[in-house]
Amino acid sequence: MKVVGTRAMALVALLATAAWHMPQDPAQAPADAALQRTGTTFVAVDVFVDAGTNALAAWQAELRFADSKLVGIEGGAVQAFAEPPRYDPAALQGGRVVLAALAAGGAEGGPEGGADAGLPSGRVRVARLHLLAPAKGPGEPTVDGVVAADADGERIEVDVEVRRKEGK
Amino acid sequence: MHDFETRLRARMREAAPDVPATVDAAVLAAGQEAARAFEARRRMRRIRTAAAAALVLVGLWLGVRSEGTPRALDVADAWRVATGREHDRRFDQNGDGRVDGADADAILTRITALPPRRKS
Repeated sequence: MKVVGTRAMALVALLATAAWHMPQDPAQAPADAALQRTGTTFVAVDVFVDAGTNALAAWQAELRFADSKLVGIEGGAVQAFAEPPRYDPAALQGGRVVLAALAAGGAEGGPEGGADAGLPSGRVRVARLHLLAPAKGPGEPTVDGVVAADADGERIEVDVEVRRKEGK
Repeated sequence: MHDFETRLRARMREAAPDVPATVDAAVLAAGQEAARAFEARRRMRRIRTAAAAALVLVGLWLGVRSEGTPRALDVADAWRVATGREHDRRFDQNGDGRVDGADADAILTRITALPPRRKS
């Protein structure tokens, strides 16, 4: 009985030692090493649209990153633009992308479905982009070709801002 | 007196022969021909000037007119099509005779499309 207990304790100690030295995510360590070798890092940037007092029903913008490559696109922080915006898949691994999105819900509601129902106004995050950027961080992107529409499909003036996501 | 005659004789010239009538007619005809050619050239110059002025005016008109000029589709068009606010046949992107959500989708695809990258 005592022998079995000693063996069990030895096994537990061995497993604990192995677990201590094992990396948390086996795939993460080589990836981090590769990033360090190439002097690059993954960065998330948020795209905000400020429609002021207007209801934002649709938006489009062209973004250019001089020193970074686009690797992924997520939707925004509001229900209407929670789905990722439309983009050309050819934009991935490149520094230029044209994003466009129609508000969900509002489009399904049809013309009689309540003018501004569910449409955000003010400054909202409409997308999040993931970039492979230099280790020092991505440069300032160029924003061009901004078009936005209200619930009636009328073009409205908006401000588009691209900011690095705060926190990890 | 002698001097007078000498001077007078020195000033005398042989009279010009009479010009035949056929020569006069030929000279007149040549002049008329030249006048006709000149008039034709002047008329052509006026026509050319008028045509150039008309071209300039047409160019100015094309430049300043705004209504009816083809405009690139954008997300506002896609929204109006998606919400059924737009029925104009020029938004029928897939040519199925209807302006509906599929056309809004096609507009979004079109406006986000990037030109193909150059092969290096």
